[in-house]
Amino acid sequence: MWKVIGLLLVSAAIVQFEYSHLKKIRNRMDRWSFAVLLGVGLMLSIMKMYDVPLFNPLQAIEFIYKPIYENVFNRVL
Amino acid sequence: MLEKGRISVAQFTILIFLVTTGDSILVLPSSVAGEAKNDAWLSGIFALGIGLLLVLLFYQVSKLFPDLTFVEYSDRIFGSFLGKVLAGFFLLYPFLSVALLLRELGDFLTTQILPHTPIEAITILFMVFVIYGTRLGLETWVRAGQVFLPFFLLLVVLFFAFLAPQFHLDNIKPILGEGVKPMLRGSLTFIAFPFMETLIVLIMIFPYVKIKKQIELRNAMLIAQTAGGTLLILMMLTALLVFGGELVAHQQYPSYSLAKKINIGKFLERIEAIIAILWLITIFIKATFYFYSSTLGLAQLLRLQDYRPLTFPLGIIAIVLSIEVSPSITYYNEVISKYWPLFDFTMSLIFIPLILVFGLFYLKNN
Amino acid sequence: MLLMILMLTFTSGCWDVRELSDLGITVALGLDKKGDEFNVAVQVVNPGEISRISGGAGTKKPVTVYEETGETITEAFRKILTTSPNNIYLSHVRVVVIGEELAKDRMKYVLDFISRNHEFRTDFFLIVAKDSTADTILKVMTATENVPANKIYESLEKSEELYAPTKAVTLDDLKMDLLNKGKQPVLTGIRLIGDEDRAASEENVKNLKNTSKLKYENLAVFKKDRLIGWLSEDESKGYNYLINNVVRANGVVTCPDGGKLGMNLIKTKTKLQSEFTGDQPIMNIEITGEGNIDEVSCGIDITKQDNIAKLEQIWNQRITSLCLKAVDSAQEEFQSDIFGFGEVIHRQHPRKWKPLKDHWDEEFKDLEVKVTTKLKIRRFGTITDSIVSELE
Repeated sequence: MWKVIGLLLVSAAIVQFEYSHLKKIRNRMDRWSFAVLLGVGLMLSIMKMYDVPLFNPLQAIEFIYKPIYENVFNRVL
Repeated sequence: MLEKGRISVAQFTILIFLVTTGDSILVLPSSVAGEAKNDAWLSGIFALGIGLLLVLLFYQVSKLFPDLTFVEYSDRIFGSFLGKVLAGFFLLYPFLSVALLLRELGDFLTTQILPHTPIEAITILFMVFVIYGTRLGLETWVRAGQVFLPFFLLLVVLFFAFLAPQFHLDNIKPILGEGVKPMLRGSLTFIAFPFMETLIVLIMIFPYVKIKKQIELRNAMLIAQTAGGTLLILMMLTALLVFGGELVAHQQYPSYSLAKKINIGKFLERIEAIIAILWLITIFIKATFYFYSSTLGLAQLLRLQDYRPLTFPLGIIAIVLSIEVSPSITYYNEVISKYWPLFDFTMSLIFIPLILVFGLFYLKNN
Repeated sequence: MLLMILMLTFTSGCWDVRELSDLGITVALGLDKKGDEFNVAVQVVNPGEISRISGGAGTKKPVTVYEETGETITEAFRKILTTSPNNIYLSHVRVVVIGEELAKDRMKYVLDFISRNHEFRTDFFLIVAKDSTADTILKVMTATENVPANKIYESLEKSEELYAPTKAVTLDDLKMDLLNKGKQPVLTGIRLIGDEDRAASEENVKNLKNTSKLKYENLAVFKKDRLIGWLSEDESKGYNYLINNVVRANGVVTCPDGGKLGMNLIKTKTKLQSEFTGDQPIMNIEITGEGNIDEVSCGIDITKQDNIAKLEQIWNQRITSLCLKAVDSAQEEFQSDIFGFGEVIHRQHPRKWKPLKDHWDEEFKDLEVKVTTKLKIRRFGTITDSIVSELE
């Protein structure tokens, strides 16, 4: 619980830090991408704190390349 | 223009040199020796040759659009939809690499030096510095590398000099006793980690180098890769001469174990923590290189006016990823030494030629 | 930028901070087998006592030995923490003593533990407690050194240099031998001489003439990770000549007409060459070296060239026989290639080694070994002809 509060405080600090900067930029896309990415980051961190299983991108790498490693690389060399 | 800074050819050379050395100097000897045993240094020479050939391929890519990064020109050559998808896919590569580097550094420090420190504490702290460097802009963090270089070279020279008394030439004999196969198997990681991993992401940096002629880029890449590759081969050779192939393969961080062995007249010893600074420098530069490329690329992809606001959110995601990617060191080692190199190969031998072919086709028609 | 690196190195240290005064600096580790469990003994320096001794008022022991038993080595360590006032800190370990029973049985688990733990460095020596347990050895105190483990470490280092039948083996050496198919490891043995009960007492320290001492004794032969036997003193010497591990050594040569002559070996070099007749490997060993005569206790006239030639011949024969003894016992008694002949063949004839590799133990038994020695006598000290021969 404390970790989550800490994390939210840190995020608030980040928002505060970037706010003045973002205000000067007219482009709405800048604000949106910042907000969305920060939201995703927060969500992932909180999920990780509560041990919610996330997707590990290395599993995708393993899924694709394991057959290639075993059937091609190990055969050829 | 998102990035207004420009780097000189010399800085570009230093950047490639440090990134090539990168984390490889710490983890590479073990995985190469695992396959090639005492011929691992020959794998290195072979890999350096391949690396230099790859430079020629990447040089051709750099000539396509001398003023644009890959993300900027991808929708021209692939069309606006496919271009964006491929650029997004490409950006996953450096971003994922940041997470892997963070993890590697965290694992190294928690295993060897700070066992009771939570790995998050190390990765978060390191990430903060990487974000800081990235926000200061290309010119600044590349110059940081330039500042570190003399220290780095000094430490490297001392490292080799201090270990020289412990060399046993017998350890690398017989040369090619098991034939060329193990040597070639060992070169898989030796080609992928130092050489490919550097070159692939360079397509985000090319336009920011101040050059008069395009050929300067090629020469810079050739020089830097030769220097970086030679350093890695020397490190490999040192590890083999001191430990022998079997023992190198059995260690998680052979270079650190080497540093532990330094003992000059029972006086100069136990200096491994100082030597470890060497790896902190190169890993920092490599991680910043990747993180910078991925944030800048994402900003260019989304047509933002500034990439800096993305650094903190992406940093948070990278830290979560770095914890998520490795449920255990066994899994991590297996994926990194077997399957990840093949991903590197796919990127540089399929993805990059694809860009080249489409790019040349586009330039011909317009 | 510099600031960044400085902060990076300093701030991250907080979790692992351990004050010097909380550290129990361990200088020696003793491992034994107790039934199915491990018995771990650590020799921890008592910093206060060390300084007090140099001040001349030492009353207590400068080091303390703690020991506990556990199912794993780590468990035993945890138990030690409950009795020891300080944390056990392992970076300064100089020697690891392994009880003979443990060495016969499950050495590999010990090696795994030591290699895995990040606190260990790799420059300590491993020795085997002959006919004894490691904790007894650790408890024995000696009068010459404040920190007994340092004494063990230094005397082994000196003994390897000056006297032939011991070999200082570090963790890396041992692991290299174990991972090599063409070489089996050896370790030096240490033995307690005298009364075991009195050895550990403070009285033993205070007595000028020690009643119990530790002595290095020859080499323990391993087959993979199991201790299978001991070389005799002559064989241990021969072993060191064969593996080119003799820096300086003293030898005794019998004079042609009886009596003895002391020889001081100043440099030797051993060359191992393998060759094949058909599929049969042959090892050719050539030992070259120089020696000085440093004691003549027989009536030979060493100013005569003939006599020097005769002495050289006798000396060469003696070293050859030492080597052959070592080879014989390794081949017949232990069937364990402790010399690394297999490794030599692997290096010199990689192709022919392949078919031999998997059953090298049997091949080694029948390996033909030829030893040639070319030792030369160079100088004979500060006097020429012996007073002994003048007097006769």
